[in-house]
Amino acid sequence: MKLTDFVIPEAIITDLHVTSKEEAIRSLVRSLGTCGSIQLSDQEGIVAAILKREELGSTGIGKGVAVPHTKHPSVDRLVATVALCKDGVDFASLDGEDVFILFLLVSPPDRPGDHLRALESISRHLRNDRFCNFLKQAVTVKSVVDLLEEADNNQLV
Amino acid sequence: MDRNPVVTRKVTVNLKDGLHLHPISQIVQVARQYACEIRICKDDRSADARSPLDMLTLGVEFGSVLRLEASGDQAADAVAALESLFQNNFLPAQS
Repeated sequence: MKLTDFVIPEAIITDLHVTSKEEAIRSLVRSLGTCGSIQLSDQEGIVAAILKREELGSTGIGKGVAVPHTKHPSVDRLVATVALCKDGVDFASLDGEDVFILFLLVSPPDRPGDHLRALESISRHLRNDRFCNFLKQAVTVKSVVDLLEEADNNQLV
Repeated sequence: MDRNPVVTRKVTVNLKDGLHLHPISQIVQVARQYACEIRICKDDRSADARSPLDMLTLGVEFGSVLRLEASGDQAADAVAALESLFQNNFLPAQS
């Protein structure tokens, strides 16, 4: 699965300024709502579901990356956004480090395979230090989209 | 005599959503209790059991057969603890 199959360019945030995990999650969900990928009326329910998932254990998976996610019946396909938090945010990550890159995913409950493949795709690229470093340095939405496309086309190896 | 034999065990993933991040976090928590090297192997690929990022790249779906591999101090204990997670389908043992 390609990153550009599910990341919504209009929802990408390159300058996330937040002081908490909850604030970060709210900002990303709001961004998906503003661009129409999720209904505005579903935002609060999606935020609550993601926060509940975080209670099971942080989705801060290390290397300054978090992948907050939930399944939600309001979407009929996997949608995701990316946010870059230059100052870092405490996500209670597994390695104790602050998070600088967030991928937030909302997937339909009946498509667990898509969810798994999206996480596989994200984590495969994030293991690539070049991808991670370029992403952290990106300042425009276009540069993030270009980077996702380059990663999809294996141009960063 | 090899003082650090590799201990291996095969397990089947019975989680209907596959090995997603929550069970992976449970594996990490168990793996970090042991000093030995522990790897989770699927087909010809393997991942460090202490790295969620690494394990997510395996894309393990329902029904997959994985090989647990450990070597070093308490390798057998580590593999047994991880095997127990899979056998209990990542639910608390007492539930």
